[in-house]
This record gives sequence, structure tokens and C-alpha cells, in this order.
Amino acid sequence: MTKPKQDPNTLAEQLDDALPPEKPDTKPVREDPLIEVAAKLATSEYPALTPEKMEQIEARVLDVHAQLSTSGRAMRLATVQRALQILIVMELLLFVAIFVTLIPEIGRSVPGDWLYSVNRAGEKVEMALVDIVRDGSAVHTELVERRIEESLVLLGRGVVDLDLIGEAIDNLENATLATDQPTSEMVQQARQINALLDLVSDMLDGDETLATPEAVQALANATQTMQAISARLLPPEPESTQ
Amino acid sequence: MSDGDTIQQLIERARRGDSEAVSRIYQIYARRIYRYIIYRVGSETDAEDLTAEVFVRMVESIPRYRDTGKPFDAWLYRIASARIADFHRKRGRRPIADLSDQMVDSNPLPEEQLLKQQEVSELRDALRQLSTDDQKVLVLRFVERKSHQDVAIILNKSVSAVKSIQHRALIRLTTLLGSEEKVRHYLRGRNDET
Repeated sequence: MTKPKQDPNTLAEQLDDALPPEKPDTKPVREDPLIEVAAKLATSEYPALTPEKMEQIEARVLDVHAQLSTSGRAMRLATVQRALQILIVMELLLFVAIFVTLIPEIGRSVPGDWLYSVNRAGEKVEMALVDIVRDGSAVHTELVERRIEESLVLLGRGVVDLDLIGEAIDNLENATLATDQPTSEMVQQARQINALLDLVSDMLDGDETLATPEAVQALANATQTMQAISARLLPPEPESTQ
Repeated sequence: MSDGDTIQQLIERARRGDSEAVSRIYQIYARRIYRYIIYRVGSETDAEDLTAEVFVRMVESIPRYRDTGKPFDAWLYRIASARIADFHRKRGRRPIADLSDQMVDSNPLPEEQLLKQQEVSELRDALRQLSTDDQKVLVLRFVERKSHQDVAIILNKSVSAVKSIQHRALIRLTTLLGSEEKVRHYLRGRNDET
């Protein structure tokens, strides 16, 4: 008689029995192709990290930690200086804000515009001051927003700038890494970038001059990275049981 | 391993600049992070570089780390996943050195060992053809021997989603390894026939 096929839950129970979590041992595997493959994976031997490599990497990590700790101690000792720094920075940001407000074209500029370099220089100042006055995650999220807006303006002009979209993706990744709890804004931005990539894909499909090998490769890379980020941010799509 | 008070104390000490605590954390997690990475990238050298990047990123970010009740290694696996994605993006998915070549010894291998090596190589190649999610679930479940619950926490998914991905990924992996006929029987529900 034909039994109904195993569902994910039944398979999960059988796997827990054959390959108990957190235990290196493997019980005799019953004749089931999926459990056999899982057991193969569990017992396959890959090169281990050698003691020499362990030491080398540890030395590198500790070196970075020492540098950061030294600068941390120096910062603690200079608390007063830091307060002054913040005041100066606030004034600087106020100046930049006034400047950008007075010349709105800077904020609206996109790659190719003559004011765009001024816009990016302002961002660099902002990024350099992140640790002092602002939350890194918030700044990265803001930069994602700007790159998306700029990309949309360019796409409206028929220009595909995958570097710009790549920057949006990098900033989104950095934003997610800077916080343990992704915000709804990040989720929204992930959706927007995915939509942008779909749009670019359609544009490349319909225009041979745009679809250079570099552009196609860059799109593939961006799409792949976004898949990884989306997997962390977006709820999984409904699974088919077939 | 359960991340109880000890790891939390180490994290707190590391945040205060205690290099011994950083060293202890590294000793606890380095091998498993390396193992997670090498299954996803294949090359030993790349896996070593990425492992170093993960722990460098850890010491850079640990002052901002907040205990949300999730195991500490879930955070490390997330950093590792991001580094792996970045690695593939920069490499443009170009073919990497074959791990089996790196494992070849100058001395001739006994036939059994050669067959085993070939099997590992095939398994690795097949695994890397799966989607990123499928790879993550299979490596965490069967290489790292994490429970469904732990994998769900690490990947920020529900337990039922992890089980579904596991089910789908194992069917794909079995098919890629050439056991298509067995899978067809399995899907028809004849696998348990006696």
C-alpha cells in the first residue's frame, strides 16, 4: 500500500532522531534518501582551521581590538574634549544644513550633475562624524533612501546606474549590521531596492545598448546580494508543499 | 552550546577592552564559524580570510551589541552570512579553486580514501548549487548540528519555515547528487513501502 509522502514536520522528527542536534553522533540511518543525504553532510570531513591559522587570525583580531581599546581609553580620558568636539560638530552640521537648505539643488542633485560632488562631500563629513553624534544605523538608512531616490531620478531619464544601486545595497547591509533589530524602514527599503532591480532587469532586457556584459554581471551580483539581505529582512514567501 | 552567564560575562569584559575575553570568545566560536564559511565558499584561503573578517567585525561592533535574549552565536552567524554574501558579490560568482584539489596529497591515496574525497567534493559542489537559504539551513542543521529552533533564531525565521526549507533543500540536494529515482519514489510516497 502506498503511504502518504512525508511532510516537512515528519521529516524533521525523523532527522532529529537520526541526527540529534548538538550531538556529534549519528544513529544508523534508515533507508531514506533524504536522511541519507543529511547524514552524508553531517559526516563529511572538510579541512579544519589549523592551529597556526587559528593563531594568525587571533593575532589579527586582537591587534584590531587593541587599537580600538587604546582609542577607547583615549576617548574616555578626553571626555571634556569630546564635549567640545560635539559642540563644534553640531555647529558644523547646522552650517551644512543651512547651506543645503539655501541651495536645495545640492540635495536634489544626482550623479552627473555638477553639484553632486558637493552633495557627496557633505555625506562624507556626516559619515566621519557618525560615531560622535549619530547612530550609524540611522545614517546608513538615510543614505539608502538618498541612493534610491537618485537611482529613480536617473532611471526616469533612462540612465541605469548600478553602482548607485550597489551603494544603496551596501548601506542597507551596513544598516542591518549596525543594529540587532531591523527597522520597518529597512524592510521597506529592501522592498524598494528589489523593485528597482526588477525595473533595471526589464530595462536591460528591452535595450541591447544598456545590456552590456558589465551591466548584466553587476545586476546579477546586486540581485544575489539583495537575496541574502532580503532573506534576513523580509518575511519568507509562502512555501509550497509540493 | 548554551550561551549562559559565562559568555555574557566575556562579552561584557570584551566591551571594556579585555583582550583575554576577546581571545576566549574567539577560541569558543572560531572553528564553527570557519566551518560554516568553508561549506559556503569552498576555498580554504577564502574561508580563513572571511573568518578573520567576521571576528574583526565582531570586535568593532561589540560595543554596540545588545543582548536580546538570542544566543550570541546567532549574531556571529549573521555577520558571517553578510560577509559571505559580500564575498560572492565581489567575486561575481566566478569559479573558485576546487577544494578537492587542495586536499590532494602528494602521496597516492588508497582507493577508499579517494572515493570518499570524491564524494565530499560532489556533495560540496551540489550544496553550492542550492539557494542561499537552502545552504544556510542545511549547513546549520547538519554540519553545525543546530536544532530547528536554533536555526530559526539565527535566520530570523519561524520553525515551520525552517522545516519547510530543510525539506525542500534535501530533496534538491538528493536530486543533484543523482538519486533522482529515489526522490521520485519518495515524492510518490513509496519510500516506506516494504
